[in-house]
Amino acid sequence: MTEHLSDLALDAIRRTGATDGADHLAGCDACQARQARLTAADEDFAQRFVPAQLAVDTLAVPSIPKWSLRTKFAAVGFALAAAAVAFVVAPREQLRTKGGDALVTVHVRADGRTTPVRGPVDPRAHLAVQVKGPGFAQVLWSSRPGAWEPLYPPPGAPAWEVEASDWLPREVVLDGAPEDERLSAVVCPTAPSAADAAEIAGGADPGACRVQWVKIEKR
Amino acid sequence: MTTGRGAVSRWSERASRTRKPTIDKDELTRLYRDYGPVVFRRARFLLDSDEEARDAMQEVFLRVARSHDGYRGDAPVLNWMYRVTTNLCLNRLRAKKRHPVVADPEAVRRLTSATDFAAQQADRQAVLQVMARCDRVTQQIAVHYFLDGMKMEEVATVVGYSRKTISKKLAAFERRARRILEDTR
Repeated sequence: MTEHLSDLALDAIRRTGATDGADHLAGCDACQARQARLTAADEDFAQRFVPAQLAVDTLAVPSIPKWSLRTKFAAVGFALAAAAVAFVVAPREQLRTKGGDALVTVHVRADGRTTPVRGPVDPRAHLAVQVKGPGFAQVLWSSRPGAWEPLYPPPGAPAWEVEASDWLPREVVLDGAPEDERLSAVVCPTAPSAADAAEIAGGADPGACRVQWVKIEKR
Repeated sequence: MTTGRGAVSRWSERASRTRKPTIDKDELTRLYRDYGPVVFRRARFLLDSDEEARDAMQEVFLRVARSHDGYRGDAPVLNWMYRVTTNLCLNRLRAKKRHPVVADPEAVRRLTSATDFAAQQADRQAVLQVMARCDRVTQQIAVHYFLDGMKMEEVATVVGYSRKTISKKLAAFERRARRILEDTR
């Protein structure tokens, strides 16, 4: 894309004695300056790390045991059985995704309109989230079962107090990943920490808090 | 460009974390000495963190150590290191960005308005932002082209696709960048 040599070409000249581009390098101040920066980075590496120690550390990393086919089938079967049990015993309100008394509802924003999510959404959709109070709310996001990450309020920000049915002050922009995701709201009489909310969303005893999650299915 | 070294031309990119190391400490030490600076520099640039770069570097060399017998010998070692490091860093970036992000239209605007992007010091954030919405191959190509300043022929060599495919993917990347700008207006 430019007339100058790439880092790859400069690395090849410096490390393997490649001749391609060597003539250009000899007559180009900009490439010589970049080559000098790469050389300095090499020296910085040499001061930070001892290759022999890095090799020892790497070889000490334990191998992950390889599962046999039978073990894999057993694991999948167990996971399916556990999911079925969770579905049966989960409180009904945790499985509801819309409705008048829902704790959290998700809407799609497109073309200036906001419409409730009633099925799979575009993987890059802009979402608006409504949480029902009163109480202090934590909104969490999960891309993997059981792994809840705080979405709002952001770390270090004051607690979000919800009075009636309040909109999340931030629009959620999906990142284009095709996998389904989950969004959860935890609403408590006193402000919950993100860690407590994540535990509650993950199935811990909610106490006086209310919790609900919705699945965001992608098209 | 000749970037291979015979003594280490036996690895496979299809490394398995389940395998035990197949090379000894001395050989791995030499590989760290020869290629560690390249891998660490690239990882630090892409991940923007010394700590994560060190972890990524170890993962790269773990792959090297555990897949030593399977290398097909069809790619220069330096190219292979570039490709594997890029892939691993993209995995890490992808894992970090799984939750929704709020777009930074100004960074993307700088990307689409630059006539010679790499020459003007690549705006890493803009590239990463657009990349998050692209497929995996386009991500690799964008890193090599916009961030590494490689020519299309070099990108083709490193990622193993034709120059025509590289050109198409880059065009798609630029369209994606423009669409992000339109969406955020």
